[in-house]
This record gives sequence, structure tokens and C-alpha cells, in this order.
Amino acid sequence: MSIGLTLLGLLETGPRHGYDLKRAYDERFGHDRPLHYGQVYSTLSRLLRDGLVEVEGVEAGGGPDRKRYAITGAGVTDVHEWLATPEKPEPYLQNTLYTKVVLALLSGRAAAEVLDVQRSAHLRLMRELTRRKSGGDLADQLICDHALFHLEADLRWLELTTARLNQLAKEIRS
Amino acid sequence: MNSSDNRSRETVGARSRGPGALLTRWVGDLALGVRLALGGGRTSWARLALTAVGVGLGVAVLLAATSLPHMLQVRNERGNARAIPSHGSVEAQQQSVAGVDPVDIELRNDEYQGRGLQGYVVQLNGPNPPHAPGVDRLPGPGEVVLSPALAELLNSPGGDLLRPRFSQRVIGTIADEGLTGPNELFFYVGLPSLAGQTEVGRIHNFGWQEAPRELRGIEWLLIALGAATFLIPVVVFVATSTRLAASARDRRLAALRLVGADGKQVRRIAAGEAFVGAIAGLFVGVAMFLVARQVVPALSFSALRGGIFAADIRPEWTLIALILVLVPLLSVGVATLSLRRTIIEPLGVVRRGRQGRRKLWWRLIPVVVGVGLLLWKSKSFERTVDNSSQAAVVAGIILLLISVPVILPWVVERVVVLLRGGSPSWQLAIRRLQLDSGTSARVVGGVAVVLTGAIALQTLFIPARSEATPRSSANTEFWAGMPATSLTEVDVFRSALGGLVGLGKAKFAVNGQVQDAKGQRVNLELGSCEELRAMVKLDRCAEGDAFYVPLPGATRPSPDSHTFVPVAGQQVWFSGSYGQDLAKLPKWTVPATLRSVDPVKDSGSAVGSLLVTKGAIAKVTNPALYAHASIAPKTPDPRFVEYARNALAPLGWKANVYSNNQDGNDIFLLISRVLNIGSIITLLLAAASLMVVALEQIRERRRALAVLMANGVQRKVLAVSLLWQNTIPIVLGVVIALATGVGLAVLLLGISGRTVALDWPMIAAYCGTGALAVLAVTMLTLPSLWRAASVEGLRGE
Amino acid sequence: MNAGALITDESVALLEAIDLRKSFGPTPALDGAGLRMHAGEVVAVMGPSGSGKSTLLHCLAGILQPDSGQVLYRGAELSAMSDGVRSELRRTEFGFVFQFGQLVPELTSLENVALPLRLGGMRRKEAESRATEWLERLEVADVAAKRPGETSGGQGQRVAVARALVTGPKVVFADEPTGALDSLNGERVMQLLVAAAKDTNAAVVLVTHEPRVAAYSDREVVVRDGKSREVELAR
Ligand SMILES: Nc1ncnc2c1ncn2[C@@H]1O[C@H](COP(=O)(O)OP(=O)(O)OP(=O)(O)O)[C@@H](O)[C@H]1O
Ligand SMILES: [Mg+2]
Repeated sequence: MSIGLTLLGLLETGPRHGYDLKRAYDERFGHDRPLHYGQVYSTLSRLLRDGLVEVEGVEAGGGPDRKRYAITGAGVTDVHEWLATPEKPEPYLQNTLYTKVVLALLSGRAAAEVLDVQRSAHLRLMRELTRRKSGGDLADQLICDHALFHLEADLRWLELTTARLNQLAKEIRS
Repeated sequence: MNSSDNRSRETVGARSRGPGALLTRWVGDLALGVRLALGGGRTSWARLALTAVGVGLGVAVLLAATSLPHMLQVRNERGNARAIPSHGSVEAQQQSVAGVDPVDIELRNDEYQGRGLQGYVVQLNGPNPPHAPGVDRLPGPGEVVLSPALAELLNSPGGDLLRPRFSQRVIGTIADEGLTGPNELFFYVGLPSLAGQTEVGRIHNFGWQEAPRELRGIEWLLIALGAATFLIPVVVFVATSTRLAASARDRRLAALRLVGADGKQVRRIAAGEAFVGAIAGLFVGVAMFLVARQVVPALSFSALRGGIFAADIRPEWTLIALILVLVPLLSVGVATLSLRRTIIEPLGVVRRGRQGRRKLWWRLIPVVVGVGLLLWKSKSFERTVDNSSQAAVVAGIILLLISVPVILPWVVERVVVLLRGGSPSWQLAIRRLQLDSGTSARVVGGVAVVLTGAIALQTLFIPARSEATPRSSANTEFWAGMPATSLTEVDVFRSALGGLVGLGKAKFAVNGQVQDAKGQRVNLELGSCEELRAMVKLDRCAEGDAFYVPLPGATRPSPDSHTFVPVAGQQVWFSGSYGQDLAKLPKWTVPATLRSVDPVKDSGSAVGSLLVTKGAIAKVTNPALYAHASIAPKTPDPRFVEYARNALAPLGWKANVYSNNQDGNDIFLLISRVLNIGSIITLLLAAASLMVVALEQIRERRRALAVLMANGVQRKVLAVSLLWQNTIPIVLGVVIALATGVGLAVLLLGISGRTVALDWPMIAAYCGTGALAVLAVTMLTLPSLWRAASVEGLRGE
Repeated sequence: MNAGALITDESVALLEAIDLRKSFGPTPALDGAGLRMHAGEVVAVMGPSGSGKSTLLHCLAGILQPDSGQVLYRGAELSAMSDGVRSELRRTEFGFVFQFGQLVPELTSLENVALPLRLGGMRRKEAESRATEWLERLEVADVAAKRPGETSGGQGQRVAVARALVTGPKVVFADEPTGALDSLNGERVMQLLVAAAKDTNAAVVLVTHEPRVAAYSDREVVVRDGKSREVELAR
């Protein structure tokens, strides 16, 4: 999962200080693994170098944590592309998928888009597995089934998450 | 086109190849319907059985109804075969028959504890009396021939009070051909002499037919309305029975639609299905009819006086054929017509959504046309009826009655959508009704028709009854009368009645009639001086005196009038039943002491009469007198009148006792009896059909009920909800029945030019009965509700 | 018109829905949904509950009339056909497999499968021998004499598939065909359905919630709030 794209996604909701950014990230995505400050600042400086963020203003007092970062047009495009591209279907994707759904919701995009695209990608693989299964021997079948059930679990979980977060978003907005 | 394409083309092509193929398809569709009706294991059989019972009940009643004309006719024929010419027309009508010794005979109309008791007293005049139907030998003096029912009654404890009247030797029983019904109380009593009886006729043979009286307008209306009230519910029940399990059927047919049965095919399949039910119903109906026919003689005890012979119940062949054709047609018609909504919905497989709302306009057609017909014919019914009006009025009545079950579903539907909230049971009920009000509306529709007819009939009965029995008092007063040919007989009559315990107020009178040589007559009243004083102003009176109360001044009889003014010493004759031959009449000379007197006020009856004391006629041999008494007993015991009859029994079969509840008008009586029987049968049928439909309703919802029970809904809630479910429609049904029934009666009475009086307590009683019937049936279905709602019901198909 | 007048040209979609709208009361069930499919294609229709999947399927099959929009079957508009022709289509060109309820409870499995053929006027013997073939093919020949109430859900569902396929339909409409079955039975029913459909070159509209079932399709269409959408993935 890309921390850079995640931070970009968070910046899309408005300019922030590096310190705020770390807090927002930890709150939403870093339950078991909070970011180090160093990680944040090194990522930000890379994004700055690539022209995806810019420094909007520096507050008196100096120091690296006094800078306010804002996303650039190029940054928004990157986030959009990232969200619209399905992850390669594989087990244990939940971190990335979850992040994507939350960011889509935060930025006012339809989380369903993320889901639909991802489902499409998953289904493509599942079709492949299903085909292989019907042609293969018992061992093949069992292996394919294992993969199929995991992929399905992923998809279902994503569906559920989308539905829940949608609901949550509606509640927040109303 | 690939191969599978060709194959489907093939099957498509197979449909339209010639009329033969068409016929095959028709037969195939019908057969599939039959298969569906028969094939579903226990559920199908239960449904079929209920349908068959429902239709069968209707068929049985229809068969019974078609037997009615024949039954009445043969009864009438047997009645006529044993009838004798009414008094007064004897000589004129009967030719003497060679080899037959005429008998003197008198018809006696008695009663025993409210049951009619009829018979002849006969006096044989030779060894070859005429043959009475069903009687081997007419009884001689001291002998009697009894109907089996009368013989049985006399031998039973219930006949105690009757036995004193039939102390004669029984020489035989009357065979069926001499009786109108198996339970008729009829007798032939032989007497040594009938001399002096008032209504004696001399006949050479039995058999006489009164000229039939034309029906009065209101009687005809009663018959028409009664028949309609009786038969329309039957038709409604047959129609309802064919629609049992409608929603299951709709789902089944929707499944057929889904696999591609088109509208026409589904109709044919449904027709095949309904046809099976109708045919089964016909069989059940015929079986029920045959059983009922066998038990009817035992059941119809007092109906139509003597009950009904099983052999008399014979439906007419043409009508049977009509029923055999019409009942299947009706059920097939109803089944296919009620499909309208399913036809559009192959989706019924997955969705049981709200169906289209019922439309009102066509439901109003019967009302509008019916009212129109009746209004159009108004006033043409005052006296008698012509044929064209008959048809119009019958059509009007039928249409109005039919409109009740036709409109009810619409009303129920519209009313239940307005209902809300309430307790869980109420909510279950109204929601169920909102989803499908048709079944419940149909359940009560039949009862509502019966109610409508009953209310209309009742309203029509009020003026009809008052016309048929002009004066009626509700007390226990009765009259006794006896012809007497001697003063001793008069005394015996008096003392017989006078000796009764609890006699109370009794007014005795004896009268007769005397005539002069020209045949002019004058009335004669016999009494003691005291009794005469009650009628006229007497300054003196002694035994042997006679008085005349002249008519008021101007109205002196003219020479050619029927009456004459007796004068002292005049030769007169007692006129009676001895004909006109003066030589045979008892002769009497008016006493020389005859005086003219004035009547006391309020005693107009004495005017123009001869008043005599006993002494004045003591020397006359066999005077023709008539003793009578009006009696208001002190005791409230209804058996008192039987005691009076028994007290007079030793006087031979001369005395008659009439109690107040003997109705005068035979036709009216017959109509009201038949209608009573009809309404009882209809009511029973209504209850039975209601039961059938209610059971089916539960059976159909078994699964849903079981789910509710499994979810812990208490029995009470389910029961109460079922009750609501039937109560709401019945309340609406009663309202509609009330409006239609009263409206119908008003229109009919308007037609016959009579004013309307409503017997509200009676109407309330009817409505209450209808409502109670529904509630009772609901109660009776509860056991099957419990069975259905048990967890067993969860195991669906 | 007659079903025989339908276009068989390959370039024309076998079944096409354009901008369908359908409301039940105030809430729209379909709000501009569309679909296009060719012979032999298996298309999964997915989407959240209540999104209008079944409604779309019913409109496609002509058993529900959309308020607006067109459904073209081989170039002919369904709503313009008479009920008789639509019935004939259902009998000869369409097959249906629903979650439950589509079998006639009074008839045995064999009779149920033979039903569409017999409704089409085929003789009983022939219809039943074909039905038997299909029952065998779907591995439920042993329940031929049982009524739907006496079979298991999986057996019943296979009977339903047999019935849907017995006429050699062009399109099979399947709404949650495995909804009431366990995974093994569901898989088996799907395998048999898809294999048979491929054999006869029949298209399948497959409404389902389950990704594993949808994996039997060639592509999927997502219905959401009455609108349909197809995701085009870059390869
Ligand atoms: N006959 C009907 N009457 C009223 N509303 C209906 C009817 N049929 C469908 N709806 C409504 O239309 C909407 C779409 O229903 P539909 O059955 O097509 O959903 P679905 O996608 O098949 O859902 P599921 O996956 O739960 O089966 C729902 O909101 C439903 O309530
Ligand atoms: Mg659905």
C-alpha cells in the first residue's frame, strides 16, 4: 500500500500541517501501525519533489512541522487514477481497499466506483480460476476453490464495508 | 438456424396444423387442468373434496327445488282424489253411480296440539260404498280407519289427550295413496247416522277438484321472491365453492404462464380444473340428495302438515339435465372469469403484490337494471299479474339479490384500506383483508344474500299476512259449535263444556232457522228467559213464550225478500240440511203468545229474529238447531282446548272446536310453509358452505399461520384475528343486505300498491342470526386453525 | 407478429434493453437501466439488494412491462408483441430458473419438465422422453416421479434448470438460482446450467449476489439504484 498516495488522498480534503497529516492517518488507517514522523516528512518531501504537493504557507517559528502542505492538480489526478485502478486481486488486500474506500468517501467520490472496479478485477481472476477448476483434476479443484473462497471473501468484505461506510457517510452528512 | 432452433420451430409449428390439432390441444389443456386438480397428493384431494362438498350442497338443494313442483302436484292429486265436493254443491255435481251405495259424509278439520287433524265421518247406506283411496273398506258404525301416523300417535304417550276421541274399533290403516304425507293425521270414522250435521254431503265417489283460485299479486310476489331468495344463494355458494383456494390456484397458474402458457391456454387449464370440481360436486350432490330423500319423511314431521313421502321427491328430468349442464358451466365460467388478473401476471410466481383495484361500474349494473325493471313495472301488480310483468319483476328481484355478493367485495376492499392500527390481532386481520379481501367477502357474500332475501320477504309478509287473516286476536279464546236435533243434545253440549275445569267465561247460544211455505226464512234464537233478557227488553217472560224483534220501521221486508215476519199461530218449518222438501222438514207452529219486543242497546244481532224459550219448541221432533259457545278459559294451559274437544267427543263427531290459531287462507299458508322450509334449508346450506370456505381459507394459509405460531404469537391473537377477519366483512355484508333487502321490499310493495311497514325487531333478529352464523362458524373452525398452525404446518410443499 | 419473423442476424444483439424505467408507486425500481447480450453469452447481473436486478430481469423476459424504454429481442420490441406471442416466446425461446416457486406443485418432476413441450402441443410420450433425457443430464432422473414438495432444494433446482432448458431456449433467465442451496449444490447447479447453455448456444441472464456464482459468467453488469453499469477493465 502506498503511504504517499494515502497522504495525497488525505490532503485532498484540505491543506494540512505534517503533524495533522500524521494524526489523520493514524486515526483512520494506522490502528496497529502508526506512522513515524520521519516517514511522514520523507514521503512529503518526495511528493513535493514530484510536484504532487506544494507548501502553502509557513508559520512563524520555523521548523519542519510549521509547514502547511496542499495537494496540486497533478496530485489530484494521481489520487483519482489510483482509486479508479483495481488492485491486483490477491488475498489480504483489505488495508489498501479499505484505505481506498475511505479516501473516496472523504473526497466525496462514490465509494461504489472503487467497489465495482475492484469486483470486476476480482471476477476476472475468479472466472479464470473457475475455468481452470472445471478442467482440472481434484487437486486443481481444491486449490482453485481455496483461492476462489478467499477472493470471494475479500469481495464480500469490500461490499459490506462500502455499504457500511456509505451509511456512515450519510449519517455524518445529514 | 442451428438444430435447436429447428426444434423450437417445430414445436411452434405443431400448434396450428388444422382443426384436428386444435382439438387435440384443447383436450390436452383440459386434461392438464384435470391432472392439476387431481394430482397434488393430499392437498389437492382435500381441496377437491371441499369443492365437491360445496358444489354438492348446492346441487342437492337445486335437485330438491326441482322436485318441488312434482311433490306439490302429487300431493295435490292425492288430496283431490280423496276430496269430496264442498257442501252445498252436492246434488248439483254428483251423478249417481250404478252399483254404488252413496255414503253420507262430512269433512272434519280438527287440531291436536297445533297439528292439523283431518278426516271424514261417514255413514254407510248400503253394502257397496264408494272406494276411498288407500282405504280397503270404509268403516261402519263404531269403526275407524286411521293413517299410520295417527295410529302411532294414539299409541304413544303423546296421544293421551287424543285417545278419548278415537275409542272406536280400528279396522285398518290408510295406505300411502290416500295420504298427502307420511306423517299426516287422517281418519275415517264410521257413524250410525249423520243426520243433523251441518255440512253433510251424499257422495257416490271420492275425488273432487276445486276450481283453482288465481294467485293474488302479493302472493305471486311472495313466491317469486321466495324462490329467488332460496335459489340465488345456492348459485352463489356453488360459485364460491369453485373459487376455493383461489390464491394457490393463481400461483399455480402463474407458474404455467411463466413456462409459456398463453392466456387462452391458462383459461382452458383452469376450466379443466374447475370442471373436475364441478363433476365431483355433481356426484356428491346427487348422493346427498338421495340420502336426504330417504331421511326426509322422518324429518319433515310437521312440515306441510303431514311431511313428505320420499317417493314424492322426484326431480324433473328436464331440470336435472339443466342442472347437470349449468353447474359445470357455472363453475367453469366463474373459474375463467376470475382469472382476469392472473392472466396478465406470469410474475405471480415471485410476487404477490397488490392487485388492481376492483372496479365499481360493472358491479352496479345489476342494481341499476334491477331497480329500473321494478320501477318500470310498478303499479301493475295491484290485483293479479300478467306474464310480461312477471318476467320483468322476477328478473328485477334476481338482479337485486345478485348485486349483493357482486358489490360486497368492492365495498369490503374500499373499507378495509381505510382501517389502521390497533392491537396485533386487529392489525393481522386488516392487513390480511387488505392483501386479499376477496375470500372473506365471498365467504359472507352468500350469507348476505340469504339475509337480503329474508328481510325483503319478511317485509312483504306483513301486508300479505294481514290480508290473509283479517282479524286475529292473540288470546287463547276459542269457539265450539255443534249441530243439535234435540233440546237434550243442546243440554248435553252445554253441560259437557260447562263441566270443564278452568272454563272461565263462556257464552252459550243456540240458534236455528225457520222458513215459511214459500221458502222465506227467519232466524231463531233459543234461550232461557234470562238469556233472552240480555238481548231484548222483556217485561215478562215464561217458559213456552216466543218473541219477535221487528226490523226497524222503514225496513219492513218486502214480499219477495228472503225473510218473512212470523205471526202467531203460523205454520213454519225448521230448515237445515234436509233439502227443500217440506214434508221432510221438522214442522213447528209459532206459539200464539208471540209478542213483538225491542232489542236492548248493543244487541243488533237479535233484530229480525225469533226468540224462543225451550218450552216453545219442546214438541218439535228433530228441530235443526246449532249450539255454540265462545270460551275464554281462565287457565293459561294450552291443552285446555284439547280437553274441550275430548269433552265433546262423546257427542259423536258432531261438535267442532276452533281455536284461534287456525289460519284461514290456504294458499297463503302453503306459500308461507314452503318458504319456511326453504329458508331453513338455505340457512343450513349457508352455514355449511361458510364452513367449507372458512376451512379452506385456513388450509390455504396453513404455512403463514404455522410461522406465526412458531414465532410465539399466542393462540388467542390468531383466533381473535380470524374473528375480526370474518367480522369486518359480515358487518359490511349486513349493512348491504339491510339496505338492499329493505329497498327491494319497498320496490315490490310499491309495485303492488301497498304501504310499507318494517318489522324492525324481526329484521334485527335476522341480521343478528346472520352475524351469529358467521361467528359460530369461525368458532367451529378454530380446531382446524390449531391443527393448521401447529409446527407441522411449517413443512410446506 | 410471429416468433418466426425475428431477426437471426449475428450483428444484432440477441437481447437488448435500452433505458428502462419502471416505478412501483413513488420509488423507481429501474431508472435508466440497459443491457445488451449476444447468443451464448452468460451475463451476471450483480448489485445490492433492492437495486432493481430482479425487476430488470423481469422486464428483459417480457413478464413485466417497463414504464418506458425498450426491450428488443432479436430486434423486435417485446412490448409491441401480443400476449400470445410473448407466451410463445416464453415457451419456446426463453427458460426460467428462479430461487423457488416456479415448479407446479401438483405435477411430478418429469411432468414439470415436460410441461413447456406439452403446452406447445407436443405429444405426451415424446415430451416425457425428452424430459427424461434432461433429467438424466442434470443428474436428477431418480426424482422424476416425485412432486416438488418431495424433493430437496438442490434437486428441485436442477429440475427447474432441466425445465428451463428442455425447449432449447435462446435465453435462460436465472434469478438467484442458487440462492437457497449450499455451496456444493450451488456450484453443481451452476456448472450444469452453464454447460448446458454453452452446448445449446443459449444466452444466460444470471442475477446473483454471490461472486463465486457470478464467476460462471462471461461478464457482469452492476445494477445500482435502478441504473445499470458495466465496468470496462483495461487488460
Ligand atoms: N411488485 C412490486 N411492488 C412494489 N415494489 C416493488 C415490486 N417489485 C419490486 N419492487 C421494488 O423495486 C425495487 C427493486 O426490486 P428488485 O426485486 O428488482 O430488487 P433486487 O435487486 O432483485 O433485490 P434482491 O437482490 O433483494 O432480490 C425494490 O425497492 C422493491 O421494493
Ligand atoms: Mg431479486
